Amino acid sequence: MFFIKCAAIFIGTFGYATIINIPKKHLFHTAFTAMAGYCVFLLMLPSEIIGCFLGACVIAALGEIFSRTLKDAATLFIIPGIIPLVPGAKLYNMTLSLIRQDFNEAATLGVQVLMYAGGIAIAILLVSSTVRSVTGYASKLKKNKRKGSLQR
Amino acid sequence: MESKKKILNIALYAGEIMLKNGGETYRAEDVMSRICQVCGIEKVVSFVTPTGMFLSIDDGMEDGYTYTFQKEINFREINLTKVSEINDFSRSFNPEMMTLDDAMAKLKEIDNKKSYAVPLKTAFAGISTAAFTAANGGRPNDAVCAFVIGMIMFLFVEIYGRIEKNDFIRTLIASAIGAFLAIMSVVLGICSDTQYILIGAIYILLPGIAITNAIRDSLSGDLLAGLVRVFEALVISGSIAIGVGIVLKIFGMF
Repeated sequence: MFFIKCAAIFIGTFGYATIINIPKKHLFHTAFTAMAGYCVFLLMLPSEIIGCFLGACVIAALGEIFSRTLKDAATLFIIPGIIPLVPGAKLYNMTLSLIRQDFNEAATLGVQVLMYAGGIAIAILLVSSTVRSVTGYASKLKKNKRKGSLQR
Repeated sequence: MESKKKILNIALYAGEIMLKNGGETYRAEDVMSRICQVCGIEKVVSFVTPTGMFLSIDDGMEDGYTYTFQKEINFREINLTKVSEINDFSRSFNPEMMTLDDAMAKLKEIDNKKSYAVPLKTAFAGISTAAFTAANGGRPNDAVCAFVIGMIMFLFVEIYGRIEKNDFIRTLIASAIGAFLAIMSVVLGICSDTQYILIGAIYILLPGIAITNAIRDSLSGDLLAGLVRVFEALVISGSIAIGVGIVLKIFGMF
């Protein structure tokens, strides 16, 4: 079941990446990024929110790695990557319970959807800003070194 | 004078392509300032919001000139290949290696590039919907239905997008069509439940780009752009919920 789900996510993200015109050479990397994130989500399953958070962390990290190694924008990998993690089923059930006028259920599901989306957002924020500050510091060090050698 | 104007045009055009096709706001700012700085203009200020952009250059002299250019972005389409190519262009652009006219021609070439063929994209939309349905617990017959429904929804989005650029109505009608077809497939006895098909079908409508760009824009200090993107994401997901909800409500009465 686990492998079937992962394979389905790989194929599904590949299709989504085609819809939003990801360059041909990056299609497999994007699908792989999404699959890795979803694998982490499945492994953490009893707690979905931790799964969302850690999965999005993996996706953001892989996005940054691919953007460095393949010399392209990190968003190309992150945008399709987070799509499988978005709680589509919860969103659907929330709409359904709103229609049935079961507002308690709708509020519970709505808050859960917001929390999952927030978890994904915070994960990307955390990883991307860490990467950015580390690389920013590294390039600053390099610049200072160059300046120093010039003065000498 | 003349070449300054050319440089500004190149920078603005590059930023416009970037912003129109789903690039982040801060990246568009980055591209514009980088192109100007490479051309030897020292004081560059670029300010970009998702709906418009401003670019000012100054030669730094006390009685010199200041130029400000503006451009508005009315509609957006999504083509991340162009984003990637503009990114490459801004990194490799160098006025000593390439004349300004050549650079403009290169940008035009990028802008006019075709996206993937519509039949191919439609087929992949179907495959994607079927795969997401399967991943969310649908059975094989659900996946087959989702394949057809996903293709129809994507065709609608594509065709409507050529007539009018209005994300809200487009997403609303597309999700309503999806819900209607899902109910029909249950009525005809092909599937047992609309749930799995609809969950798979809404994935291709989700505002993934708006969400990701909202996070990355607010992260780089562009709070205004971040807020605008968050609102865009909310509007689109709201219209998905409304479209599905209306149809389910109407058919729930029978």
